[in-house]
Amino acid sequence: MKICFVSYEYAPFPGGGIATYHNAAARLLAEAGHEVHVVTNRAGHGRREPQLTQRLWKEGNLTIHRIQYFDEQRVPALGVQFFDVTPTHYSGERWRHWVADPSNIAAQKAAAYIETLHREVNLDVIEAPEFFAEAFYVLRRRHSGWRHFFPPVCIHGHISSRIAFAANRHVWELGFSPHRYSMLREEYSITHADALITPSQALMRRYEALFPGKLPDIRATIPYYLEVPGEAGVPPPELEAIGRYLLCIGRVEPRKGSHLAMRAFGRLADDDPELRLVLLGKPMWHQGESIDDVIRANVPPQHRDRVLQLGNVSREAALAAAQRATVFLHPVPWDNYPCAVLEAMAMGAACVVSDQGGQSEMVEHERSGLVFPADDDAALTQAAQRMLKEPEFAAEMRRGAVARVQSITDPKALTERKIEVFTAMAKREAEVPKPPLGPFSMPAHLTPGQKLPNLPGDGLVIFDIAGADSKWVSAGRDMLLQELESSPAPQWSLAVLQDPGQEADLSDAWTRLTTIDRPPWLDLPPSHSVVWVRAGVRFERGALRHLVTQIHDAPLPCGSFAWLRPATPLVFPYASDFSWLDLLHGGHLLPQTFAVRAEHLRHCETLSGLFRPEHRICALLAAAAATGDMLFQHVGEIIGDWYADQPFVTTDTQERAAGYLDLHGLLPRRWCAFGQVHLPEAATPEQENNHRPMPSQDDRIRGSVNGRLIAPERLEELERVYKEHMTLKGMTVVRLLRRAKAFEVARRFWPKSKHFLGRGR
Amino acid sequence: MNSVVSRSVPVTLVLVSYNKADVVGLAIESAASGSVPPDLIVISDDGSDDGTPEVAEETARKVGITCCVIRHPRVGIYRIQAMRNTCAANALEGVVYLSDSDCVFGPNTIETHCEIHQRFPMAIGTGPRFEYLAGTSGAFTSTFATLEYSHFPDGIHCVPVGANISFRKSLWRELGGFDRAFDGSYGMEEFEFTERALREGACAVSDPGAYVFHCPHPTVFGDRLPLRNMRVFNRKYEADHLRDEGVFVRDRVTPWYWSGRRKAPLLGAQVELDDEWGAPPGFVPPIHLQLSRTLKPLIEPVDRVIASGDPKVLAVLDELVHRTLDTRMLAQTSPSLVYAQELQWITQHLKTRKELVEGLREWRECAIAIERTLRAKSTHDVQFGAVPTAQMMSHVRSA
Repeated sequence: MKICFVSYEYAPFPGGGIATYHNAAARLLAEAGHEVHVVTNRAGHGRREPQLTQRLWKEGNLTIHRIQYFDEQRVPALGVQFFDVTPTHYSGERWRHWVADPSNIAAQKAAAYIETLHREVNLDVIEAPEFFAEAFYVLRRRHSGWRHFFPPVCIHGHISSRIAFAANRHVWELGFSPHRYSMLREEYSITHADALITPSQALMRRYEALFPGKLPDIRATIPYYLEVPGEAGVPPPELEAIGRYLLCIGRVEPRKGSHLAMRAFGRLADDDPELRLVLLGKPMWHQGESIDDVIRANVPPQHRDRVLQLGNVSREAALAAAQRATVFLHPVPWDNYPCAVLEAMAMGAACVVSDQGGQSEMVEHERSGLVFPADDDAALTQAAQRMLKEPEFAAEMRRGAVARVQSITDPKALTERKIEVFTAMAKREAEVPKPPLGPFSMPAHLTPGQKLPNLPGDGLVIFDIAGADSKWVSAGRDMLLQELESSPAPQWSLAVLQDPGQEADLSDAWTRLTTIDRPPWLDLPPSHSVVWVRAGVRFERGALRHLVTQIHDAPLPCGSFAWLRPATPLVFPYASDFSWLDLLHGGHLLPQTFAVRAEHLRHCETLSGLFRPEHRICALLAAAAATGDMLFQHVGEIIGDWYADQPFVTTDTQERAAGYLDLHGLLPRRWCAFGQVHLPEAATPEQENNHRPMPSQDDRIRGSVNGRLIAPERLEELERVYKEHMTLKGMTVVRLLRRAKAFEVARRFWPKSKHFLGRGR
Repeated sequence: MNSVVSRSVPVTLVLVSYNKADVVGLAIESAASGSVPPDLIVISDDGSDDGTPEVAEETARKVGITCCVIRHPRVGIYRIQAMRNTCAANALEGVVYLSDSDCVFGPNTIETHCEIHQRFPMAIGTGPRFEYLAGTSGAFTSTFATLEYSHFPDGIHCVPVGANISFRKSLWRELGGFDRAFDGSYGMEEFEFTERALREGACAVSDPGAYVFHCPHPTVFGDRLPLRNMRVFNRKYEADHLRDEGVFVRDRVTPWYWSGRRKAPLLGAQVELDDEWGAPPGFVPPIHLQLSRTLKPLIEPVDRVIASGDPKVLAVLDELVHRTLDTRMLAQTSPSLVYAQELQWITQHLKTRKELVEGLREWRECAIAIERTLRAKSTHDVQFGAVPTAQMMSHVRSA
């Protein structure tokens, strides 16, 4: 088979169970005769060998593709773009955040690369971890009508960020906006994959509980591969002089139960004056709490100096330390399938593990180690004491651990099970008819005698021209005629929403309606699609199909919206997936076109009071999303252009959308305050030299300048301050101060100068 | 068709247009008559009202090439990056050759671009761009030193200012396309795209056979300063582009070309290039290029000033040495630079007629002497005249 692993956690990425798994899986599958590709990051982590740094490296059946995602600190490269945008250069901080997130950048670059790779080698299947959601754009595009551009995707469960953050009680991480987007992408990957593999039943059960009835049909639990070095390494030098010690391997954090180990050690230390507690791994406790604080809280003062924190050590040294450890502890509240335990067992360690998670599927109680109830430090103490006090029993457990690990990590058996899953995916994929992907294949609309493929299902396109410029209307008319050419009535029909008495050069065959008419979707069957297109939208040929395909093809109910290139270079144009709650936040980017099933608009019985296009789009999207309890999802690609001003949620739009939801009983009655409107930032150098640095009269009406939202009541003040700044900037003394970079001096004596001297160093 | 390329990938010619009905047909015809015509032409038209799309479609139909015109309505802002990205999105999965609708292609231009991508799987292909300026300095001339760049073996700076670059569509997709931040003004966008490609591991390959002729035109979108885009670039890469490029050109590109090194076209003898300049046949070089071979362009007007007392003749010399001739484009340490600077000094500082003529005579004698030395050496070896130049300088200074 042709298998592609997609993960930045691959050699030379240091440490981590995911990297350990990928290193072994790629090599063993290649050795088993399969063509294996690994698409990974290019960061060298201090290594210089060509096989670890070159963009392309081939060894037998294994080919490694290294793409420049980000550096060792997960900082994307200077100048990196998300489609045609450098995220940090555009207005709208909120919108930049989700895009500049390294997982988003990596996922987009991976999808772009895999599209080409798939054309060249015709991959059978992709496998990617759910963590970091690197397969997100592949999956999104597969479900938006580009299915034949990518192979099916198997998501391999390791641990999702939401579970990891929650296990660590990281409330800030859980609430931090870019992380929330990232968690959403991870969960999309789990629910929209073609198959799901987890290494433990524990993780599979957890996902089944989190997403009941929403996981892929093809599911399997296959333990990790295990590769340990043939020869044991040398333990860290700090352990040379130590006789007996309890060992924990992994990041020192709540998720790993490090505090429980400390408590158990504190109880055991009185009886055994030689005993030490050794922590191998990066300290990552809560923000604002040091590891020393944690030790102080859990270990009696007289024993604190017997706790050794050695930080990250090499894998070989960690394995040697596990082999020498008196007892190996893994007291986690919950863990998926920890490689550290698997490796310690392989080294013949006397393991004591908690019963919540995959480690209890590895260790059989009293046969290959001891299993204790999670979060019970007394039980942990008892189990560790047994290992310490009964050397024969511990020796038996060590032997049992080696035997057990050999039986559950037999590479041949694991490969067979994995290939079974991949084969099932490939078989299902083969049943889907696909157009040819040859390089010389001309698009259908350019090939004589061929038409665009039909739009999926049945539906209605609503062309919103109310109040629109006539040139946008005529451009949109021609575009829609082309898009609907191959999908004639009665399957697909077209209605025009216009102002009463508005003149427009449109076909008489098209239904005309105004905001006071009964909305046409109320007469459609629930499964029909409704596509909303504002005048000013241009789709690439055939792109309307992608918008509609997503709502038909996605396994979970969703709405669909498009990313369109905007008219101005200064705004950030691409919104993430959003729920109805997001739409009540002032300043949220609104799509210019969307598709949804008629059943999700069933509450929307009127358009009265929604007299601007932004009002209608915001209110309808919010109502549909609330009705269907679903997200509106982008199609994962730019599919056209938008020529007018970028629509945002203004205060007016926000209030009308909230009122619309309330009217239809969709808004909680006690909810009174909504998200605030952003005030604009100071003008950037680009704006100063561009076309519209100051709000025009039209902008005031619309409430935005270059895509930045402006509260109308602040406009006068803004204009005054802006003019004052520009005048000051032009003064000779200010120019001299700027040239001399005398920011600090100037700021001290003239605080106001910061506005026109810049931020300084 | 004389193609030596066995093409496994198609090539799409991508053009951006606005009111270019007079030349777009020429562009398509020249592309079609090349040794390898494009498999598809994609034109992004920014709301032309002179019939550009119709002319393009008609010409493409006539020459038998499939053509896709994307008609954008006018939005007022100069959104060339957005339009280029539209074009690339509609291109075939292969080589995308990006140019402008006012460019005329050499007979082997597109084939050369294909050859570049055949040999270098991850590359930005490029070549020189000549301005078609009949009556100015010959049939056409090089501007912004693109001819010199095209003979330089490597580096990002060989990417020309004008539209003449190619890349695989896969690379465009991976990079995210052209940066829209450069919309609204001229310049730097192709350079920035190349910079990103290089950071990703691509190489920039310039070939003298991949040349285009640009038909100059008055700016149609109003005042668009390239400095604005340079600032955007500098901000994006925390760089000082003007300084970096200046150093690169001064220390590497210009001495390389002027020492006579010429890059052989990738397509070999199939591409006809002038022996001396490495440019298309009929190339009449601008003065700064002529001065790399001979001082005659300076000696002749000096002769005329010495022979004639007419102030108009002196004005011509003044115009030549102080305005037309940009000494920054002359190679460091070359005699042409030294002699040009000395001539500037003489015409600026020697005020009386007598002093001036005497100074010019001295200058002329030395210049002729060095010209003889030049002739005695190989055509391509321009490292000449160190001693006479030094003597000349001391003599003129003392005078």
